[in-house]
Amino acid sequence: MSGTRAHIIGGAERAGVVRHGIVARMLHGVLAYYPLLLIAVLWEALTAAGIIGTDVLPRLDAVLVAIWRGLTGTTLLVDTGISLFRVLAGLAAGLGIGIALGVLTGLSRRWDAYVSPLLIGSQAFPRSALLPLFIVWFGLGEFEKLVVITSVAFFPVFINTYEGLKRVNVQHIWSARAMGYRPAGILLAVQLPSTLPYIMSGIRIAAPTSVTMMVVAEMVGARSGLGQLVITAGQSYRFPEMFAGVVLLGVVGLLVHALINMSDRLAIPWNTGP
Amino acid sequence: MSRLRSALPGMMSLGVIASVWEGLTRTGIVPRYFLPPLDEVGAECWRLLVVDHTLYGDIGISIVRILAGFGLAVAFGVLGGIIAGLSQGAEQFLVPSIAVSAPLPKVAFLPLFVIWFGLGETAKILVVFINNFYQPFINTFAGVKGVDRRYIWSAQSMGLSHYAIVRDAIIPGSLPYIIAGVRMIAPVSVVIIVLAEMVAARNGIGFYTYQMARDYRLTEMFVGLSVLAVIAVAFDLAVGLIGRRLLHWEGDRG
Repeated sequence: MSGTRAHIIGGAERAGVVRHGIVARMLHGVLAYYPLLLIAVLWEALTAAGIIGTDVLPRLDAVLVAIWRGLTGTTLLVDTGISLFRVLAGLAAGLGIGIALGVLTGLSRRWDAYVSPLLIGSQAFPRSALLPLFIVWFGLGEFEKLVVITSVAFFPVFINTYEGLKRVNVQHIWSARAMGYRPAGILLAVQLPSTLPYIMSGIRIAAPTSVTMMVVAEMVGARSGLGQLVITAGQSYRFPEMFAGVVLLGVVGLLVHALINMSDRLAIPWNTGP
Repeated sequence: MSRLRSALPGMMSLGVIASVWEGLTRTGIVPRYFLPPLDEVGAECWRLLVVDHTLYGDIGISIVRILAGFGLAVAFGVLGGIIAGLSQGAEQFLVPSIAVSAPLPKVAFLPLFVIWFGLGETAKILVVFINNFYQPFINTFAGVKGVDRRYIWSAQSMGLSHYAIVRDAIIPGSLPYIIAGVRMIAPVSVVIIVLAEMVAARNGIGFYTYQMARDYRLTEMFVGLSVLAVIAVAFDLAVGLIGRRLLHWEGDRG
């Protein structure tokens, strides 16, 4: 009831905005972030006036120039691509392993009894502490990065798949069975679709930690990627470049976030909630 | 009795993992520089923690960092969330910017903080703080917004002051959300401090673990891992316990 009302109000507002035209709408959208703009203006003003020395904070325009040069001169672009790729690969592997473990433990009573206590018991374990171990085991290559990110990404997906499968409406399973579906068919046609919102919110929880792990894995030992760039630029006091790396890491974080929002809408179009 | 029986398979698989670990390392199938025997890790734990007391300095400083970063994040997050939830102006000022900056990887600022504040405590505590500030803020904001208006109206009609309404209606009403947000960042605080100590520290248990791994002293490294696991689990349990105490009227749901 209240949902429909919110829809109507939202629709009216949207109609009102459309009448203002696209420029006004964009302006309105940008102005919502005016505190950030304020920070940017303050940053530029204080550094340009020399109140804050450039050995502490580089000028904002120098950072923007560094980003522009890096993106057109391909060095930063390549690093950004590598970092983004690492996160997405780790998330994808974590998604696969998480769903597989979740389905296994969610459907088989035996696996549930023997495996879930271990996995759920390790919930509070800080997986980031495994980073040194993975470096010893796998060196500093791509596989180590993949394992590091996957090791944090799989857990929320696993636990949400597991919980989601336990909450599937039993009557839906019964009716599918009555219609002659086999267990595999029930899994694909009934259980996984109704678990999908849980899986998606699992990825949503996994994503920021995965990005964090990527950054640190690159800072601690890598020859490429934005995390490595930030560290080396910082060590040699190339501040504009370092800031450019920080900004682009933010862009990677936002891209991953946007990608998940998009796949959310594609995967569960019936889920219109926030 | 039935609880014991349901815990039995989990114990059994734990036992299987331990014996496979011990078997593979003792027979030399898995080399020592790859995985030390389990009983040697246990003996090293005993030596470092009970006999020599060498690790307590690192453990102490890590706990202080965790508590400081976590405490600041909770304090500012909850306070900011309440203010943004109550005032329209504060909401318009804070919420869009905070929402758009939430997915940014905050550890990226760590090298910057190190340049600004050096290798002391400030940089690490600050990174835990900015990483963990968001969840309590978002949850508190949502909780305050979700407080049943009728409670506020009845408090108003009873003539309560603004302050009393916040204290007696809004904070208790949003407390389940606040606690949920705080509980979510408890394990993350440990995760972040471990990472921060690997990138920029001269002490702390995360630094110790990383250093031992770099020296290929895997037995000591596993001691560090075990200590970190204990710290994380204890912190998680403690925060959960305090949360349930604060929500005692909710029964077992918290």
